[in-house]
Amino acid sequence: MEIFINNKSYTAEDGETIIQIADKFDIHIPRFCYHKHLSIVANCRMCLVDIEGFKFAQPACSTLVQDGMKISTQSAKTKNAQKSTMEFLLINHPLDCPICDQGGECELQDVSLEYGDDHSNYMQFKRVVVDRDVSPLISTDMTRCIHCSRCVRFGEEVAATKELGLLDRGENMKIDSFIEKNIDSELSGNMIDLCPVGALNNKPYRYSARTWDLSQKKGISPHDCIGSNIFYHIYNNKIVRAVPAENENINQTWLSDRDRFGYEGIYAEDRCKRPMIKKNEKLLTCDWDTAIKTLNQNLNTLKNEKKLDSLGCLISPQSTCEELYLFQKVFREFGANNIDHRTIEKDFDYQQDYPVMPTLGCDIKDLEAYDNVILVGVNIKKEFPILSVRMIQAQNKKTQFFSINFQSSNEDFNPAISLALRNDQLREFLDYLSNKTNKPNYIEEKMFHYIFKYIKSNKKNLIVIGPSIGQLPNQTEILYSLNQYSKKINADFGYLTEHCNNTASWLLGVLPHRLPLGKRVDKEGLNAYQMIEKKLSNYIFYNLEPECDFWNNDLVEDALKTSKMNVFFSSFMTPFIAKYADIVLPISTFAETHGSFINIEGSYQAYKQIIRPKKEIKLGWEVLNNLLFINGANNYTFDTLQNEIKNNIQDFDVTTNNNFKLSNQPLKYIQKDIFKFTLRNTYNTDQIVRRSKSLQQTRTGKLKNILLSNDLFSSHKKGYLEFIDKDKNIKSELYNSDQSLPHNTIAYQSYKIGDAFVGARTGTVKIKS
Amino acid sequence: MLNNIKSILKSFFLLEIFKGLSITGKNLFKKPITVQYPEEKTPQSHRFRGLHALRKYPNGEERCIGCKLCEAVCPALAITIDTEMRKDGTRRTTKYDIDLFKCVYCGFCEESCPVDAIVETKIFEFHFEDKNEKIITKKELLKIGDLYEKEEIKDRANIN
Amino acid sequence: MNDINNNFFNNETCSMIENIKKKFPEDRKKSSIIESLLILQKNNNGYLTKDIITSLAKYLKVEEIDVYEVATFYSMFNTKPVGINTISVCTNVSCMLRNADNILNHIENKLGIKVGETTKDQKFFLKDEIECLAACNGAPMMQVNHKNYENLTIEKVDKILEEFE
Repeated sequence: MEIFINNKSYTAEDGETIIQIADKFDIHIPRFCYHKHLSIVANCRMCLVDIEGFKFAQPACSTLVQDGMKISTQSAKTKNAQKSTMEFLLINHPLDCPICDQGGECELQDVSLEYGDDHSNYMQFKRVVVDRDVSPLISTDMTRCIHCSRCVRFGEEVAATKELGLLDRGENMKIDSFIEKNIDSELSGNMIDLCPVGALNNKPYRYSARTWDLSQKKGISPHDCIGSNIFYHIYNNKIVRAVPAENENINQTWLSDRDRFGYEGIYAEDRCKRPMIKKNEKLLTCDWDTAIKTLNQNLNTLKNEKKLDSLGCLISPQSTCEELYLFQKVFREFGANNIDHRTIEKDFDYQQDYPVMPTLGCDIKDLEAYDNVILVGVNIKKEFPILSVRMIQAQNKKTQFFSINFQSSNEDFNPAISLALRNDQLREFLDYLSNKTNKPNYIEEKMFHYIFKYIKSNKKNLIVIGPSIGQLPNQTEILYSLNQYSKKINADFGYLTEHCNNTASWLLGVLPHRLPLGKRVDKEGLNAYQMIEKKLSNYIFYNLEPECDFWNNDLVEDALKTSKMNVFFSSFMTPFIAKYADIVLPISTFAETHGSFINIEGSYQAYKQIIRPKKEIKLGWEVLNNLLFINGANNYTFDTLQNEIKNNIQDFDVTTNNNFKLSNQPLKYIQKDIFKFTLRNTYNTDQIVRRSKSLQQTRTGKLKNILLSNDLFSSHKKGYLEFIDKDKNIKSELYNSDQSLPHNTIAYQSYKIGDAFVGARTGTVKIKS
Repeated sequence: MLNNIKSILKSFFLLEIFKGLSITGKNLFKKPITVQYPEEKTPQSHRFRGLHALRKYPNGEERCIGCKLCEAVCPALAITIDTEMRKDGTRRTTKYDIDLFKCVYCGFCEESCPVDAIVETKIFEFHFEDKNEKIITKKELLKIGDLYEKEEIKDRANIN
Repeated sequence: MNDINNNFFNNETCSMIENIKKKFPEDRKKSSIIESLLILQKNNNGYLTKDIITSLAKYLKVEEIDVYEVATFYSMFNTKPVGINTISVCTNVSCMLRNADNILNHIENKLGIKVGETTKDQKFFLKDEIECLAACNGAPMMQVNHKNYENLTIEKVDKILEEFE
C-alpha cells in the first residue's frame, strides 16, 4: 500500500505501524517507550503524529498504517503535541544532568532539546522516589524515571523473568522489584541500555567518565562460545564499560551480564607485570630477551636430547585463533606432540571419531525452526544467558525444549520436560529411548509418554550437548548413546562448548591427534589429562590458571611439584604460578591484542586491539612469533598471520562437519558411591570473569557451597559435612539440600568451597557418617 | 622663492623648538599617568578574568560535582578532570588540573559551570619558577578559592 | 506445593481460587490475581502481607512482582494492617461542593485520626486518596465497608458510626 509521510510517498505492508515505516526510511519520530524488540504499549505519548482525518494526534508506535494515510511529522499539530508531552514528562524529572551518567547520551535530553520548550508552566515541587540498592550491577535513581516501562517489558518478554514492576499508581507510581528482592537475572544489564533516562545505570561505571570522553572499539565476547558482539568504551586507555553491538544473527541488541561486566577482570590486582625467571628457588624479574632466550634454550636442549615426549603443551581455548594456531605451530616445529586444549576433560576415547570441530548444528538464528530441542547437560540460563533470549523467542514460535541435566535446570523458558539424572542413569535413559529395552524405573511413566509423543523422527529435532558432559569420566559413553539416539529420531547434533574458542582449537589442530583442519598427525601425543596424570618433567601452560582450569587441580599441583621446568604464558599471577613457575611470560588478555574467535555456529569474527597493554606485557601472538623467529622461521606480521589462518579455514566446508559416528560401543560405566559433580557457575567459567569484582558480588557469583540431594540431606544429621573425595578428606559447614538433584548426588557450586579447592570436577565421594 | 625665505626665518628664530618645548612645559605641571607598579596598580574591569579558583559552599563542602562541562567547553583543552564516586555516594573529582600555559582566560569554564564552582579571580600576578608549576592542581585551586571567597562575594555584590 | 504457606491456603480458599481460575483461559494465569487477592485479604483482617503475595504467586505460578503490582495498584487492597471497618469519604467535586470537607473533618475529629490512619482500638480505618465513588446524586457521600451512605449530614454520620461501634 501507499502512505504519505510529510507529503512524500512510501510503500508499506499491511500490519506495519507508522513508526516502523518511519524508521525504515530514516524519518525521525521521537519515542521513549517504543523499542523494536519489545511489545507496544504507547504509554509515553512522545511519538504522537498528525494524521489527516483524525481530530487528535495519534501515537505512531501503535497506529497501523492504512492505504493512502497522510501523516505529518512536521505540522503544527504534531509539534504542539510533542511540546506538550515533553512538558508533562519534565514535570517530575530532576535537573541533575550534570551528575547523571546518562548525560550526553540521554534520549530525554536529546528529545527535549529538539522537541521541547524552553520553559515549563509547572512550578510545583518535583516528586522524589527513594532508591533501593537492587543489584551490584545496576545503580538506580528512580526519581529520574519517566515510566516508559521498557525495563518491565524486557523482564517479561525477553528475559522471561519479571523482576521489575510498576508499583502503585498515579503520582506515586514507581518502578521497583518485589519487597526486598534483588535483580538477579543473568541478562539484567540490558535494562541499562533500554532505560532512555538515567534511572537505571551501570553501577561499576558510575561517575567514572562522561560519554563524550569515551572512544568506542568493537570486540567479541571472550566468555562464551556464542560470540556476542560488544562495543567497549574506553577512557584514558581503560575500558570503562561495555554495550552490545547490534548483530541480528547472534546477540540481536542484547548482552549477557557476563559479557558486559567481565572486562573488569583485566584490571585485577594479580596481573603479571614483568617476565620472571626462577633462580635459586626464587622467582625474579628479568627482561624479555633473557626470558625468551632461556625458554628457547631449554626447548632446544630438550629437542637435542630427544626428550620432547616429556614436554606437555597446554593452552586455554579462551585464546584467540592466532594464538592457538601459532601455539601448535611453534611446538610442533620443535617436534612436540603433546599438545592439547581440553584441560577440563577426562575421558578422551571419543576423540578419533569426533567431528573436525564442534558446532551447534545450526545457526543461532535458526533455532526457532526446530520442533524439538533436546538440551543435554546444560543449563542455558546459567551458562549461556544470551542464548536463552533466543530460546524464549523459539518457544514463542512453538519450539519445544527438553532438558536433561544433572540438576533439573531452572530455565527462563519453560522446558516441556526437565529431568535430573546421574551420569550412570543418563546412559540407561538414553539407551531406553533408542532401543526401548531395560526401562529405567526412576523416571515417571508420563515423562516417557510425553517424550515418545512429541519427539518423533518425522519432526525437526536438535540435540545440544552442553559443556558439563565433557567433564564426565564416562563422556564417550554418553556421546555414543546420544549419537545412537540422534540417529533414531533423525536429529541434528550440536554442541555448546566450555570456552569462546573451543571450535577454533579443534579446527586449528590444538590437539594431540590432529593437525589443522582435522588432518591426521603422524605420531599421536598425550591428551591433556594424561599429560597431567603422567607427571611429565616439562610443562608449558598458555593462558591457563592451574587452580581452576583443569579437571583436577590436585593432580595439577602434584604434576607441577615434580616437574623440572614449568613455563607459564599467563596474564595473571596465581598462587600456583608464583609457587611452581620457572619462567613466567606476561601476555595480553583478549582486549589487549588483535584477534579473532570462531563461535559455535562456525562464524569467524575478528576484532582490533581494544586497549594498549602495560609496558612490559607483550601480545601473546608476538611472543610465540618471536620464538618461531629466533629458530629461523618466517617472521609473521599480524596481517600475514591472520591471512594464513583465514586462507586455511576458507577451504573448510562447515556442512560436512557433523558426520560424527563412534565406531566402538564403549564399556558401561558403573557408578559406585555417591555421584559428585561441579556445577558450572556462570561467573566462574574463565579466568577473566573470575576476577570481575562486580560479577562476583552478584548472588550467582557468591555461590560457594555444596548441594546435597534430598535423600542424602535427610539422612544426614550432623551440623557439618565430612566426606572422602578420592583420598582427600573434605570437611565443610557450607552445605544445603537441593530438590533438583537426582538421588545420591553431591554438587559443588564452585571449584572453591570456602577457600579450599575441591579436586576432581566429577567422580565419586563417600560421606562419613 | 617666498617659501625659502619663510623657512630660513623659521629656523633662524628656533620657532619649532619653542613649539615643542611648550608641550613639554604644559605636561611638566600635569599629574603623571605612569603607575608605580607594584606599589601602585591600574584599575581593573569588573569582568576581569585572571587566575582560576574552585569555590566551596559556606559549610566547607566543595562545590565541584565533576560534571566535566568546563573540560568539554575549554577551547584550549587546558582542563583535565578525573571523577569517582565518593564514599557518601556523590560525584566528586579526584583530579582537577588546569594548564595555565594552555589557558586563554576566555572564561567559558566559569560560564558553563552549573554550580559556580570554577571561577576566574582577579589575580593576574603569578609566576612560576619551574615549568611543572604551570599545572595547577585541585588542592591549589581550592586554596585560592578559600582566599578569595570573600572578595568574590563582595565583587558580586558590587556588580549587582 | 509444599512451600505454599498453608495458613492462607486452607481447603476452602483453595477451592474458591480454583473456581476463579476456571473463569479464565489456562494461559492467562494473571487474570485470576485480583479475585484471589480479595478472598485472601478478607481472610486476613482486610490487609495483605508479603507472605500472602508470595504464596499466591507460587500457587498461580506467576511472578511475585505480578501479584504485588496488582496489590499496590488497586485502592481496595491494603498492604499494611488496617482497622476492621473501612471508611472512605468522597471529596471529589460534587461532594466537595456539598461540604464533604466538613464531614471528613468531623470524622477525623471524632475518631481522633487523620486520613490514612487506623484508630487505636483497631475499629476504624480512614482510607486516603478517595476519588469519585459514583454516587454524585447523593452527595456528600461515604462508604463504610464498601456500602454507600448518601446525603450525609453530621448527625447522620454520627449515627452510622455508632452502628459500627
